[in-house]
Amino acid sequence: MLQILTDGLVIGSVVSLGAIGLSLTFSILRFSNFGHGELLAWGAYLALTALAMFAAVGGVAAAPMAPFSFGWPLLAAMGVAALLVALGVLALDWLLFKRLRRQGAITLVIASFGAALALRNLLLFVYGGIPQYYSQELQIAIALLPRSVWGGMRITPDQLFVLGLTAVTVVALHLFLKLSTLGRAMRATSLNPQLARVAGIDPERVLRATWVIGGMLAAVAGVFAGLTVQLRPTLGLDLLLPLFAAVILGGIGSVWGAVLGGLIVGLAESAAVSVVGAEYRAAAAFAVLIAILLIRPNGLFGERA
Amino acid sequence: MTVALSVEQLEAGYEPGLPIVRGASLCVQAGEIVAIIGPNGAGKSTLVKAVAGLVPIGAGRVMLGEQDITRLPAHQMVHQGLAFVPQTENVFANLTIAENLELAAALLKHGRAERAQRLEPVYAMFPDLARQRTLLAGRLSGGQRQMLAVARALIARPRVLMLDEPSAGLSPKLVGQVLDMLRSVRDAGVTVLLVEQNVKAALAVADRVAVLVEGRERIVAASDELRSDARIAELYLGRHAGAPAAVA
Repeated sequence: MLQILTDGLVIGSVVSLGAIGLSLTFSILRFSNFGHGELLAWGAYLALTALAMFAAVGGVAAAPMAPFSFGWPLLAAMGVAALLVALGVLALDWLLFKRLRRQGAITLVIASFGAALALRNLLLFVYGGIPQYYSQELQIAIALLPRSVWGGMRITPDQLFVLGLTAVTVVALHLFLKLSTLGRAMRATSLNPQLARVAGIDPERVLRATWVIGGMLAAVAGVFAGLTVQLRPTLGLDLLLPLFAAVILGGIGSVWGAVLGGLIVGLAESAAVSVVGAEYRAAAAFAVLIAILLIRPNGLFGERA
Repeated sequence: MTVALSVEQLEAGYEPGLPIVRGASLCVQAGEIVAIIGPNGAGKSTLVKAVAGLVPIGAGRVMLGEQDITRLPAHQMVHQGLAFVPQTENVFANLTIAENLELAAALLKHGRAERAQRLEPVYAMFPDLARQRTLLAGRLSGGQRQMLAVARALIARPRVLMLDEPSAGLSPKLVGQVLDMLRSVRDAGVTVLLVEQNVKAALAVADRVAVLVEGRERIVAASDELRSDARIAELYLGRHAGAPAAVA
């Protein structure tokens, strides 16, 4: 029972970080970006490439930092991947979305479908279809609670790392949005873009910041997915629907809503795996989504439809 | 007197080839309050939105003092000295009062000390806002929102403040308070241009009034002169519709 909670929180951490970016993109750029899942996949694979380059160029052996399965090169690779995904998504905006912005949300959504297909197939072409791992190290799970207490609770150090860094990232993002001028400008723009313009907020600067933050969070989420499960080219597609479920569940435009929505989706998937089997995990997430939307149509933290 | 804002033969509208403002001209002297009135659909709001950079300008020119600001992006207007308060949704409801005002100050890219210097006089002018700094703007009443919207605009110390129907949706008592506030703003040295559907309120607060009909100014005169002018009723209510238009 408690193990479902642990596994759900780990899955939920990955979904939450991805959902925050998706939610920010929706509330500020005003369209559902179906290419967002691919940013997670590209982040995961770019980190793998950076990791390989660190090992090849610098001769840095990926000696694990006990008790984790990875060493500091993976942290550096995650930073490099986050930067590259941010630059990549800015380039994608310049090449595609910026040119279509005046056409309206539907055009942008369709364009994002196309971008997702292109990005996924490019990933498959470059990296191949065989699942890969950051480390071959085996980890021994730590027993947080004995089996006698509701089945016990075990967690690997890598999973603890994912939970901890997710919490730090979410708090840092909250402080950024709450206290910084750019963060407040992003909140203002998400509520009322026209008023934001007359108040002196440069809309293009806010759009760029949104892409960068969303892209970086997606890359980190992708690395977490690769670290706790595996890297595969369909990672983005597999996570896309849970990401949307989390955003809708939490309330579109709300960072804390995306976090809570992600955790709920993670817990629902974890419970489904244990209770009805892994093949129904996505269905379980959507059952929870439908149930909550029947009670709160705008989501848990949403104030507007 | 110095000209604070001039609009020359302006054409503007939301769709290309379909202007709502059709050759309007207006001159606002520094230190005065000018109100734009007119029947529904006359293009009053479109005119000020076009000046503020929110509606595309097809033809004509907008001068802020000596500076040509025609087609300047909306977010750069405030840095040039032109502030605009929209009619509705004119505060950031998801930010607190303090966050609304601090954001306005921070966007001017001054140092921390300068920001504080900008905030203090505004809080002094609006003590109600100062007392409720941590309150979400979305929880304010209509009148308080209008105060906050004007306070936010004043942070930039604009030369010209434009407002779109500041009395809309307010009770008569609150309309009086808003008009008093506009007089205070004018007395502080800011030129005011407002669009007003409430003719009585416009005539009460403005030094001069421009009557806009079908996208063009038809009458521009001192408020005192217009109070008993039969042409206002003609233009609003269509009285003596068969008679030749007695307009400038």
